[in-house]
Amino acid sequence: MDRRGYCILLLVMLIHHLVSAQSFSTTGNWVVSVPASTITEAGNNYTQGITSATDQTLMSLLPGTNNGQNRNGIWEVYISKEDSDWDSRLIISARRTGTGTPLANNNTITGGTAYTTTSATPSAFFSGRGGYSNIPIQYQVSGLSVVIPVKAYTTNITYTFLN
Amino acid sequence: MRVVIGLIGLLLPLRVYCQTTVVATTHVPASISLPVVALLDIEPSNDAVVLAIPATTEAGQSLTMSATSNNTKWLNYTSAILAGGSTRRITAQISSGSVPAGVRLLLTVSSPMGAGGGARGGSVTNLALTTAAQTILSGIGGAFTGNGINNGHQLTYSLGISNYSSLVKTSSTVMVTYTLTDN
Repeated sequence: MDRRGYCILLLVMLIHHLVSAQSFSTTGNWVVSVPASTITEAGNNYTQGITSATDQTLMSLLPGTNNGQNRNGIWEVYISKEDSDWDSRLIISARRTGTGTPLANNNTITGGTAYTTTSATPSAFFSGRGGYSNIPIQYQVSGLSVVIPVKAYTTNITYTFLN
Repeated sequence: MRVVIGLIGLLLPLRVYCQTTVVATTHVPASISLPVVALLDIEPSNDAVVLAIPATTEAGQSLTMSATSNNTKWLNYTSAILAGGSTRRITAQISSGSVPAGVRLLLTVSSPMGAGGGARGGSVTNLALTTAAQTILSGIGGAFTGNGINNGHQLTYSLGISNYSSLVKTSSTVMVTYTLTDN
């Protein structure tokens, strides 16, 4: 292969890399205050958790493919959390409440429709093939108790995109 | 040889994309604020408790007080306090009416029973109620007693004789008020 051939080869590789660009993003945080009126009867504790809007977070992802559909478009999303100021009795979970918008007709998305409990260790959330935009995600906090000191608890839910 | 190297170079990107690699992470901040809660009630109801001192049937004997008690009421509460905040207490006082002369209205509060959890109050025995608020339970933090009878603190009202010379035939209605308050 002469110099011209190498140049063409490098150009092909560069184009291949550029069209295989990957992206992964989320929008929407979750800030909630539990109403004091949640407990109406003296003696009772909280009886259920609190949930966010069904589309509290919208996730968009584009795997590294050149057409959004080939073998290499298979991907997985993992979920975990990094606590800032959190009480271990509070359990935060997430679930996928829809498919979002597929970027190609035969793209697929599976799993994640039941609540997945978050922890410091990443857990498989859902997976699929091809790009999607605006995948809706809902959150739930359980383990509420009046025994837990009154304050604001914060954590960061981390999504990891594998492709 | 150059052709072989060129083919390897062409295949490298494909090999990379066939592997599962961490591509990206995103972070979604989440915050939940818990509220202050302070609830207190009497179960099964706020209906009146009737206490009566029976007349003695034997000349020279003191009044028999064993039948003058009632333990049908229960104290339930739910308390959620600020992190690092002070605990709470419950007081009791006669807020209206008066106890007949020569008689004391006594209150016994049991230790917590039944369902519930957290930092609940203790107990008190035969506290003579007055018009001044007196602490009957203290050290209440984040806690709940459970709802209804057989949960929380059982209240036992009884009468005692403080001065026989002051006793007259009479009846009286008093109201006892319980207050859950911050220390």
